[in-house]
Amino acid sequence: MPVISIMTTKGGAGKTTATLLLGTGLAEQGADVCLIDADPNQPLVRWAEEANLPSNLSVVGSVTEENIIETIEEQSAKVSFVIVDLEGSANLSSGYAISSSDLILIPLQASKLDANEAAKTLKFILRQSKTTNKNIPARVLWSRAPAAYQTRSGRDMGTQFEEAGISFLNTRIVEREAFKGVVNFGATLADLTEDQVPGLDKARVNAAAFVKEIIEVLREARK
Amino acid sequence: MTSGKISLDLDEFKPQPVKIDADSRAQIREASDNAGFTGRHAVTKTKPISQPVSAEQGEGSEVKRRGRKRTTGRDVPFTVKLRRDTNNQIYDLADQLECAAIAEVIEMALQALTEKIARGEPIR
Repeated sequence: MPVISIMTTKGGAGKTTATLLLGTGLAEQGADVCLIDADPNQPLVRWAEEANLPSNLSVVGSVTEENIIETIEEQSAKVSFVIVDLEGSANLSSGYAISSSDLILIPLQASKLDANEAAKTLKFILRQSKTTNKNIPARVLWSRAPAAYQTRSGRDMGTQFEEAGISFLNTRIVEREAFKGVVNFGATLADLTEDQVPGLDKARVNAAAFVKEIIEVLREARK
Repeated sequence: MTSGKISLDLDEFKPQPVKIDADSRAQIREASDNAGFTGRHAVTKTKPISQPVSAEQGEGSEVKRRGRKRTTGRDVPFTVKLRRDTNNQIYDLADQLECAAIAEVIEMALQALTEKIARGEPIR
């Protein structure tokens, strides 16, 4: 516990990046973390094959709708944080993951296509909450956002979501070379060097704020 | 600038098994289907769908050998901002030299520059 699922039906929204930043950030704080790769492309598994994984961070791959519940059940009994990275499609695995989760994150870029898919995902979460009679907190996360400003379309979208009672994380994951570097170099933000990617300091501050806010949201949800 | 180092007290978050019973699973599956969340992972094939065709098979039998794609070894992206006239010059040279890729112009330019340096000729 807790189980955090990162999902949206849109591909390329930043799910895997958010999973890696959160997972490695929590592991750096000393927590035992398991990342569950439920994306058929297995991006986390491929990352783990090259990465110098800390001993308290594990990655479980080949997870499908057939075994996702058992995998979450097994890992939640072993580690403090289970993070599930789901495929960017409307799939049954997401349904199972939602019902097992303490928090759901929906990465969103400021495009209409992303917003439509995020809205579809949120409706699905609401529906599953009713089905299982369990209130599942969900937060939309601005991902791959411009560093210096919020675009007009982003502001408009944010307003519409908030008017519909949907909460955003205050922290935005900014589009940064350093975050791509985590994947490209099979590293963690802590391991990367300025020779490999620029702007590491800002990226680390951004990732740390993201991890800290997730913990605050989890604490709030436990009250 | 801060270093991005944080210190969080995570002691309250302990392993705690999640349990989803069979009835709940059935409900979730039904609700997912009704919501259009019907995607299933593809079943992994244990054997490739078609066997690769060897060169001998292709030449001697009716099975045609596919044309081999020429590999260039160019697999590193290179993005750079240029002045418009420099950009035009590269494309003009590519046309003039009938290059198959813009990379060829850059490779030839580098070769020419390297030779010029080796001959001790002034560069700028």
